[in-house]
Amino acid sequence: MNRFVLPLLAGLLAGTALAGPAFAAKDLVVGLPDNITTLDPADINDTLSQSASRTMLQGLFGFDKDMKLVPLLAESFTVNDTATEYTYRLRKNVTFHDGTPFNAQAVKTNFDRLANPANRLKRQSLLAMLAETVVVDDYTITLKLAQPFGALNNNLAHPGAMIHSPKALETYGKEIGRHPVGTGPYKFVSWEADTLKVEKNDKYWKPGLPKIDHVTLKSVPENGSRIAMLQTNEAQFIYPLPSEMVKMVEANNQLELIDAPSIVARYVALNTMKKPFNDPRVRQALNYAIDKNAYAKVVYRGYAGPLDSAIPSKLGFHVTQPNQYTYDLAKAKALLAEAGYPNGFEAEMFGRNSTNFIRGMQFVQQQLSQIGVKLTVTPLESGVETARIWSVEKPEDATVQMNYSGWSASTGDADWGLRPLLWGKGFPPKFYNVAYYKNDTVDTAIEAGIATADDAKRAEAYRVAQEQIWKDAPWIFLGVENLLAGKSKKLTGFYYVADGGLQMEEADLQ
Amino acid sequence: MLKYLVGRIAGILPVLLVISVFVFGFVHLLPGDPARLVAGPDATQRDVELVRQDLGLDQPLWVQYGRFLGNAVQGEFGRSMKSKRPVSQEIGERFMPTLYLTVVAMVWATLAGLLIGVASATRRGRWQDHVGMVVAVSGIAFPSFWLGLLMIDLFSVKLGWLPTSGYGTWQHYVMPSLTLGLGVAAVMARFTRSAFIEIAREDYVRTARAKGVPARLVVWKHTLRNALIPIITMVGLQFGFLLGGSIVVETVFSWPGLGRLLVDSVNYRDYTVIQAEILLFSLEFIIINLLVDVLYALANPEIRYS
Amino acid sequence: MRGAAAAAKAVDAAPALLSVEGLSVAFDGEHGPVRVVDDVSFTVAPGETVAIVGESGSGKSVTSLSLMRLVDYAGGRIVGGRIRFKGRDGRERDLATPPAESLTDMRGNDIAMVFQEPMTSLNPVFTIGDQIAEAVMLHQGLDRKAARDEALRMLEKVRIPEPARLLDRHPHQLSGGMRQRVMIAMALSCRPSLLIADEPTTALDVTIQAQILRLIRLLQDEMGMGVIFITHDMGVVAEVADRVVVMWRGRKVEEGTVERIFQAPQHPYTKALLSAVPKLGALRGQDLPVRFPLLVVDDAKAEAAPPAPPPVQDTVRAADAPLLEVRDLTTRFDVRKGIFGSLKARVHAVEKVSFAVRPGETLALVGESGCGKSTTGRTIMGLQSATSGTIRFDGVDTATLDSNGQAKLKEKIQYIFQDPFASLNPRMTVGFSVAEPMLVHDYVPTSKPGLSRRRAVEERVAELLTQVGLKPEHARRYPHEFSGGQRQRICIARALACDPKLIIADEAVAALDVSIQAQIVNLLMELQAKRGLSYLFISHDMAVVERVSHRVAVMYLGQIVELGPRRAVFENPQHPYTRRLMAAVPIADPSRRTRDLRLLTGEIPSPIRSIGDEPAVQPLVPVGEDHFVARHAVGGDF
Repeated sequence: MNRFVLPLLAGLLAGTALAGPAFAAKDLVVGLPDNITTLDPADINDTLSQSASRTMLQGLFGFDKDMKLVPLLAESFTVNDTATEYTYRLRKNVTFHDGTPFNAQAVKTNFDRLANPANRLKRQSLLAMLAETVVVDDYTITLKLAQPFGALNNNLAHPGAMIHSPKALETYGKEIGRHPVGTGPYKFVSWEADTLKVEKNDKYWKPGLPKIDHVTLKSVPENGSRIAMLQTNEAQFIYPLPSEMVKMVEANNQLELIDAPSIVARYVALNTMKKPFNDPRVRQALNYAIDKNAYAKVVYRGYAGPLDSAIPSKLGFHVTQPNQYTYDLAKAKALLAEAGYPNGFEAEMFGRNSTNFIRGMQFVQQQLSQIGVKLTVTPLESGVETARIWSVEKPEDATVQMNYSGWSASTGDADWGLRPLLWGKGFPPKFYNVAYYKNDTVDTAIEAGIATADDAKRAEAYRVAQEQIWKDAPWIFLGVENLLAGKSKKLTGFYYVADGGLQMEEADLQ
Repeated sequence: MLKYLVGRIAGILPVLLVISVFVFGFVHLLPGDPARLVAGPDATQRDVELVRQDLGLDQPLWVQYGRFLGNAVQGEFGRSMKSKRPVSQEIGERFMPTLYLTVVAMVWATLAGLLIGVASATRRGRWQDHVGMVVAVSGIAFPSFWLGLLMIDLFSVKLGWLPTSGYGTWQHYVMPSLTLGLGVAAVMARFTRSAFIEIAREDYVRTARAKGVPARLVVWKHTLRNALIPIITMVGLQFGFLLGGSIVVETVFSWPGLGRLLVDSVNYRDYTVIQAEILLFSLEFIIINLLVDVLYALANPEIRYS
Repeated sequence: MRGAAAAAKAVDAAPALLSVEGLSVAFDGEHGPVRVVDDVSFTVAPGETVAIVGESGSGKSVTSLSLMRLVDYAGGRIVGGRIRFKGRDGRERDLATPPAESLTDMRGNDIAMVFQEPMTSLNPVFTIGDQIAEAVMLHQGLDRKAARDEALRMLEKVRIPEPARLLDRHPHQLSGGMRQRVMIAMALSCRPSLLIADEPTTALDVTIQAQILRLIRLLQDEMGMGVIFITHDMGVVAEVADRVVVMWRGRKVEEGTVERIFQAPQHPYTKALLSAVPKLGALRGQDLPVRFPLLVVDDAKAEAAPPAPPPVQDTVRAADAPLLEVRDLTTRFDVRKGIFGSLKARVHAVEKVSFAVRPGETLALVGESGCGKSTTGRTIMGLQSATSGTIRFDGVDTATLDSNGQAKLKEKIQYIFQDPFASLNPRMTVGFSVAEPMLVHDYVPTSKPGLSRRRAVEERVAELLTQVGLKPEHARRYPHEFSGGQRQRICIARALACDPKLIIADEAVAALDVSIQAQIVNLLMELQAKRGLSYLFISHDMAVVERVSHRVAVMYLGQIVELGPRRAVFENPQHPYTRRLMAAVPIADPSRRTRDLRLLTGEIPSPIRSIGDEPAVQPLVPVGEDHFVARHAVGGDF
């Protein structure tokens, strides 16, 4: 017993001594919903760990607070007509936290590492098309691609393509995820269990930044505890904020609500290979039968906007569709009758088993019952979902009829918003086209959009694709949820970006 | 006694082996493809295959088990599928916070439980007994989730006395250990009360009174010493349960312990961590059982000498 | 409110150490308070022994608990009367009125108590030394060391061998007799002026009982204590008491010197009680067993009905072949210890035991705890498998029987246990319990033709209940509605259900009050006469055995050391152990009291032997007609 109690008491006493707050430094605490998984962005697939990495690491490109592509470690670029060869001019006089200079060799080391399948990095697909990296000079690098890829800059803006110090990569090897060394505004201090601490990078290349001395990212899974931290000023920013707790932030004059559209699309994929969903009139009827405003109110307490195209408005090349499926039961019934289902039909809808998903599914169920469509709602645990939906080898074996789902295109580009979900060659298990939707016009447009880096051509391609998809309605387009977060009014320059990421480079505490 | 201990410890190994088979089998029978979960929601099929190879999940199950067991014997449980860190580090980092919290919660809960239990038993049927037992029943019935949030709201948000959550100073221990210990204290109070009432009926308690032992000593010496024997078992059991890390308390108070790690790893199908954690819990239970038996023997001379 | 004048007068009039006046004690029952002791008065003088006698429910134990106010902790309260006690300082206090907790300085100091159950009356978690020293430290203010020395002295006083080693032992390591000595040492450690002994020897074997009784008497003489002896055993009363208080239903019905009570009892209850007491030697000069000449007290009137002339039990059909023949029966249990359960020792419970039971005969197996008498019975019954030897029933070797034959055998041999509380299923009606053997054995009662099986069984149950002195309508009731004696009657009815030939009665009357015990013994004997039953009567009580048996087998350490006709064994015991056993029995006749104050010591030896250490078994040799004895030293060395 003594062996346990002594260190415990010692710990308690030591803790007391350290408990007094240090007023001199500017310390920011951010409350996160989950644990950070790793700090090697090349091997990350969750937004939260990406945000954490972004405090320390940077890529050639990045997104600004409005999801606009901006150059970071690259100053400019050129690309050939077929989008197979990109050349980047790199920023000079940038050093990693460990003093290693940032240069073309450092970029090559990182990109070669990411592109090599043998390294088994989760973000390998970002550079899967990379054939060769050529160091032209210290500050010029050329990327040669195996096939045309017009969205490369977007891929390079993805956190997965951020640049580690080559020296750190060599030193830490597989442990790099515990020892991130980048060029970003903050330097790594410690990461234990649920708490990441970073400190100001005095030699940051952007003058005057950062302004905060220490940033602590702390995982607080319970919503109530997280908001309590904000209320007691133990944290200055917390996210996500459950919509039912918005009032608590609004009621406190020290706090400020952040409410902005995200890039998370909510929809029900309809298996277009199965009756009755093989008839576009049925799919359109279902779209007309749902009151999108009510959806936002019921499922998101009003903190959601419309999904007015196949991709959310914050993604690049989004085009708002002119003919919206406005709530119209008469029209829905007429379309159903026309398709031969005057009395509706019965169907099963899958979806995740989280509270929010179930609430959404029940809403859809209720709405469709108005036109005689009787839905059985089947919530699936994530492992079961994988087995029943995503691992099915052949379309004819698919049991899914409807799938309540959501998608966040982490590159911020239309390509990743459409290709994995609606491309004719993207049926499970390869991608996530669970609507089993295949349309030649759409396929051609998606392929064209990625085959060039010419923004005008790409815009045209995605316009065509979005138009066709909207008409065919392989989904019930439900909405785009808003990002909700709470922050202290003293905190400025801290951004919650549409992709759910955090930007704290310019953060300051008044 | 020593021989007894050696025998008991030797007996642990086959138990652990059986547990390891169950743990491994059970974890691999969970629905869902861990490779896909690890690879992430927007990974390509190719990414998934890479992950699968990386984790050794493409091997036959028995090969995986053999590897698991071989490593486990050396205290090596592989790397977490999620963080890629050695599982031993992952668990090691979480173990002490849970242990400390458990010890603090157990100490106060046991003392409070004993006091309330004895107070109720010695005032059986009177108002003190009724109050004690109402408190105890509510302690069992009160959801620790709500209690935790209520306390945060009162002591942190409203009064500003204690930090809302986290780990580090003694202030951080107050609310989590109260929340965690409440159920235990309630169980202990009820258990102590019934054990105490039973012992108080024994002939030797009457003998003590007949000797002229004052009531205070009859209660705390003659009765409680004997009542402690069953109570020790109860304490051990409760301690074992708490050592697993309370999922609810650790979540509400952001306590970086084993309970939260388990939830995370189950959500993530982090097989390696789940396996190691379950093995650890089993081992903890076995060791606590052993300790309880030893304490039991110390408290109960009839076992000590046989 | 009592007058000061009255109190002063009492002081003048009473040279007594203790003077109980009009004591009434009540407990809270379901329907309000129940008075269990009602207006009881008696006195105890220094150096005097007063026995309070009565059966269960007479209020004698509650009276004893009231004297030190321990009854307050058991849920009772004194509702009237006074308990005047003269302390060592000569001051007199009324113990009935102050709060119970305020008397702690007096308990264990001026008045001490020894309880019935030595096995449970010592605290299992403290050492013997600590438990004795505790009282010394509390009352005499001695320090630990001095108190321990005092404890050692007390252990020597109660003649415990190797007292120094015992100080650090725990109660479970001691036998019952040793524990009772420890209890006495503890009680006497502060040299109380009054000792209350509540059935202090009831749970002990007779030889140990004799030791304890002599010890108490010796210490009493030494210390000049007053002693209150609570007991139901008239033998013990005759042995120890100067005066006797007889209690019945919470009231004192008679009081007098021990000689007067035994020779000229006045109250009908006292008469009835004495008539039921088995007295060793009561059948001296008679060949056959004789039923108790029982007086029955009519509950309402407290008038004893005159006894019918006791019939002689001439039931043995000596010419017939033996019903049961046991030859060289040996039953041993292995004692395994350690991780691998290796064989460490053996319990030689039964060693080469041979005897026969004739039709209509009662053979008694007598001996003290651990002598193997019960194991013998259980082995014959098939509840325990024999290590070797043969058992023949009705001429058939039971080992050769198939399962059908075994079942038939169980029908013909029935068992009656000591504890009638435990052997009846509390959730079944009495009728079902009695009918159960018939249903299990598919036994069809012989009855009037034309009855359905169910009706036949019901009639049979009614008939059996009537035979054992109950009423047919009792069949629909549950066991808890019956007293201990009635339950034992039910058990007997159940045993009779399948018309058995042999009944093994294992301490069947040991747990019953004397009057009930006598009734049950008479019932068994009556049934034997009516049905020609044979009994294997297993008992430790020599006086009961003398009453009931035709022949007696004395067992010691698993062997039969003496076997012969009852009269021969009781009047001319040959084996030293038999003599010792007989000498230890308290005789319920104060005029025959042995004032032999030699202290007896010694424990009953254990039948556990290490591997390879086989006991010597000597053959039984004839010493008279049908009378055999084993000529070896076993059990003879005292």
